[in-house]
Amino acid sequence: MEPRRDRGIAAPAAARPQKPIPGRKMRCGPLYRFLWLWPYLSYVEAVPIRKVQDDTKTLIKTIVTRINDISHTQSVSSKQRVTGLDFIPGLHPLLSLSKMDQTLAIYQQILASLPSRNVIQISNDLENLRDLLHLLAASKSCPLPQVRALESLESLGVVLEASLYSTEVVALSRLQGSLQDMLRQLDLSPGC
Amino acid sequence: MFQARCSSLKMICQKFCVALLHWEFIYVTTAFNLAYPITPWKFKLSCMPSNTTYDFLFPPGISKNTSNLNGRYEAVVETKLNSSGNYLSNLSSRITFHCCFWSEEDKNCSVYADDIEGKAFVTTVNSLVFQQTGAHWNIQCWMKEDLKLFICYIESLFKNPFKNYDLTVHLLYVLLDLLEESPLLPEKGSFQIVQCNCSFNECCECHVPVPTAKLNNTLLMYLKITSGGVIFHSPPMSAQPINVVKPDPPLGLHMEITDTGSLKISWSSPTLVPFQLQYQVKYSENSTKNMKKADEIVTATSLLVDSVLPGSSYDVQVRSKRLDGLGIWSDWSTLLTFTTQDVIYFPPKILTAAGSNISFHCIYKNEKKIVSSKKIVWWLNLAEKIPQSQYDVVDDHISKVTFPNLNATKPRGKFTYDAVYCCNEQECHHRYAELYVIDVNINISCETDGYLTKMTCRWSPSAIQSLAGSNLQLRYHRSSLYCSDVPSIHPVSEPKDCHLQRDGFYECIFQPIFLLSGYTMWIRINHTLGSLDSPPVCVIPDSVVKPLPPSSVKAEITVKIGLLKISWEKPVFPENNLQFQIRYGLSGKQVQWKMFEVYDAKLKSASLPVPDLCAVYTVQVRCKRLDGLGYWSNWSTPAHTVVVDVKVPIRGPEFWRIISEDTTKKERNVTLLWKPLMKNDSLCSVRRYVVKHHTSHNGTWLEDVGNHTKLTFLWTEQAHSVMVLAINSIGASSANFNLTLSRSISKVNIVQSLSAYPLNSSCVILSWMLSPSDYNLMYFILEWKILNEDSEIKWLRIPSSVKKYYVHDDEKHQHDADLYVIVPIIISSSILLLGTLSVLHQRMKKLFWEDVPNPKNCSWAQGLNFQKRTDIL
Repeated sequence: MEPRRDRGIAAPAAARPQKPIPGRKMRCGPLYRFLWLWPYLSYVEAVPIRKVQDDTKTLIKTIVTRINDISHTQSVSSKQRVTGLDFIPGLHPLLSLSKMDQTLAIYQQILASLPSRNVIQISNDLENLRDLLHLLAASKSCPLPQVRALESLESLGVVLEASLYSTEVVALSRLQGSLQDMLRQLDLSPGC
Repeated sequence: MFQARCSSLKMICQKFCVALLHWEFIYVTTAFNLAYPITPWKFKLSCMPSNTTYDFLFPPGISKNTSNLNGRYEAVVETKLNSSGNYLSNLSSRITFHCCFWSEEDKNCSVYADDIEGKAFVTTVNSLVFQQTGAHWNIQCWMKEDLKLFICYIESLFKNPFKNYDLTVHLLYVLLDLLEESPLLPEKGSFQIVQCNCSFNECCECHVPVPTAKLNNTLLMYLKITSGGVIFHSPPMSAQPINVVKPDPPLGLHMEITDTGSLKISWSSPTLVPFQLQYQVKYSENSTKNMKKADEIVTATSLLVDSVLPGSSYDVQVRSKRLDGLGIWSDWSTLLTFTTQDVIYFPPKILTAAGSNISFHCIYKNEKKIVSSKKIVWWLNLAEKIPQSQYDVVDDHISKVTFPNLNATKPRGKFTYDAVYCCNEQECHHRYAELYVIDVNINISCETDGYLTKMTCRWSPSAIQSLAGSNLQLRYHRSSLYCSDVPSIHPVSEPKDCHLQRDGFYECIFQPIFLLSGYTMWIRINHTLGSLDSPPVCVIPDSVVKPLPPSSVKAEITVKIGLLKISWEKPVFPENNLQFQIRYGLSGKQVQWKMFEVYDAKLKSASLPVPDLCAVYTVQVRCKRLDGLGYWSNWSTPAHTVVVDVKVPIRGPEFWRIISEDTTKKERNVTLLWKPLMKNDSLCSVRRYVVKHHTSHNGTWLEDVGNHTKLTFLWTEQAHSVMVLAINSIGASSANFNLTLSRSISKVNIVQSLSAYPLNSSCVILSWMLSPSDYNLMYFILEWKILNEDSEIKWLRIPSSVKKYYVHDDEKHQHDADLYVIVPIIISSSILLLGTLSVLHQRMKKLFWEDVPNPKNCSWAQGLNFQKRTDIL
């Protein structure tokens, strides 16, 4: 698998803003100049952020479809509750950007522990998705805190050894649900 | 007092010898701190019989009863005499040998004895004493640079009287733990023994493995040398392996002239040593100007020597040693001699990319004299003189030429470089500098598969294949999201494995991928002359997706609507909106495709008008992202329409009547003949024909003819109307021809003569003469067939105004004129018509009358299967 990279984000070539972005890394200037430039800046900014938003939604749909395509996740009943896997995040209809990022980080950790080949791609997708969320958060001037490794996942190895199938199926199923929640939430312009 | 001590020493020695005879060489009570420290890594071992007198050689002022001379050296006992051998023949059967270590730096040699109480007693003598009569060995001990093996090398000295005997050497050693380093030697049993490898020339090498964790421990050891039947035991010696590391000599010694005209001496360490090294470089310069010797210590693996001169020679050797702590210099590397030529180019070769600027420098020596740089001129390939505007004078002897904005080198035969010559006005030395200019514009194109899990990148090395000895490597750097405006080569990059394909392209696969990350890629051309990078490109896998083709593609001609309907399912990926392209055409070997594009991502079907509703169409669909990014998918698997009845027949068949009159019986039989409906009219098949009769007396009735195209009935009434209906699975034809038979109709004979002339193998021209008459002619009917062939009679309708007509048969290529039989049939004027042929539907009527055959083309009636008949009218 390809090693992880730094978090350097290159702006889209086709839609990079030509001016400083308010709330991002804007060099502080006089307030009146900022207010005067605001309509223009917001127009310029709208293009890349819209692309980021579109890419975020498309990527979420892609991951959801990928999970659908994994054959053994299709036959799992959603009615049956599986216990002992509380470290896998459940569904939260109302999600902020930071909560989304935190949730995805946990899933990324879990997927990275799964030996199945087809989850590697999903894990990569999650990394891209988290980068997109960071970009969206930055556009709203709400930097996301760095997510730390969760203590609850320390027992993951033990659970995996005993219940690999359950863990994979439940993790993918809950991830799918969480992603669908996020997709709905993104339309509602989530908060920080 | 001195003598008393001496006799006491002798007595102690003798007692000690006896003890050893009993205990068989047990070194159990010797003080550890008396072991000979191997700090001079080269030292000597000398042994001599105990009866040798050396008392008088004690240097003045040295204590003779010192039990420990600071632990610097000690002496030990040796014994067990074999009476064989010349040297020993005069010795008694049991003689004690005293052995000691000494070195060139410290020639004092101490002998050791033990008193009755076991106290060590050490006496120091000059080693010259032993050199007179004893046995002698050179010893070298060191730790290998891999820090795994301790080696002691033992060599018999030339003067050694035992030299001609078989030599067997054992090394007994113990690695003391750091905590165990007590003043006492360990028990005999704790010593391990290794047999040393001895060669014929009386050299032995002993190997002691040292665990990495014990490099700082003390290695205590002694030698047991058997030669000429005598066993010699060395005094104990000690060393800390980490302090006696001796690296292997440096390898790959190399000299070259740098781009700046210096002599660069470089080398490499033999292996990856786990510690830093320092190097000693010994070199000498021998030129016409001077002789120079130098000796420098450096920590880098290269050394620059300024002002290299043409026509000189340089001798160089290098050795290495641990940079920190104690250590031993390695052996010198093999001597390397480098001779500079009379003309020095620096750099001698340049590999560069097209479009770049480079410079060469040169020093020219002509007959022991260096040419002034102002007199130097430069030539390229001995063909063109380089303009002086490109020269620079660096100093009195160095000239420089610069090539701006270089073009790629065009190979000339096997020469893939440009030869750059530095000349002394009109005289050029045969040596030249080589200039390799490579066009590094390598296009890298990438494609992400339809499952969005794999990105395949392809590139062709054809542009740089001419550079022999080069290898190409795709390198990349991934940024977390998107690409920058101007891709640049990142200092941190990774190589990617690429595989050569049959088409000459390299293919590199990224799997899994980061869909929205920017992969900046470039090709690195590695060559001994340097490396070049192609211009980097940045690719986002999401932007180069080639989707899977649409699935479940179906095609049908819609019933009653009569359109070609194509439906499909979009592929699972990508989730972006897609556009679709449909291509369709009549099925056949070479389909003439027509295209239709669908830009509505939500559409899953399209209905298209097609000219022929009763033909088999082949349809394929492909897709691409609606925003234009990526590639078109492959075409889907073809779908084919099935010919079914789409609508009721457009019209009934056109028909003619033949009236046969039996004058004796005064009956008239009417035979109706009609052309079978073509698919375009029947839409698309005819199940049966039905003749609809109407008379004033009997009213209307239907007569089913089946698939026949002829019907004969008895004409009894004054007026009899008939209509031929075509019926398919949908229903009966809606527009039909109507014929009313009337008693007042008669036969028309108006064609007076008919001539036929063949124009070529497939065309015949017809002309005819008409008799004068008052008929108002509507049209002629022409019946013809090809003789001697099993072809059917064909009918043509010809306008009444036409006087000549071309009968064209595209299917035949070689016919004689007489093969054609032309039967002109003249249909009378409207007054004389047997019936009135009318088209009920106004639209169809128009179609009918406009469908007059063009005499210059094949008639519309060709190919129709009329029932063969012998007479008309």
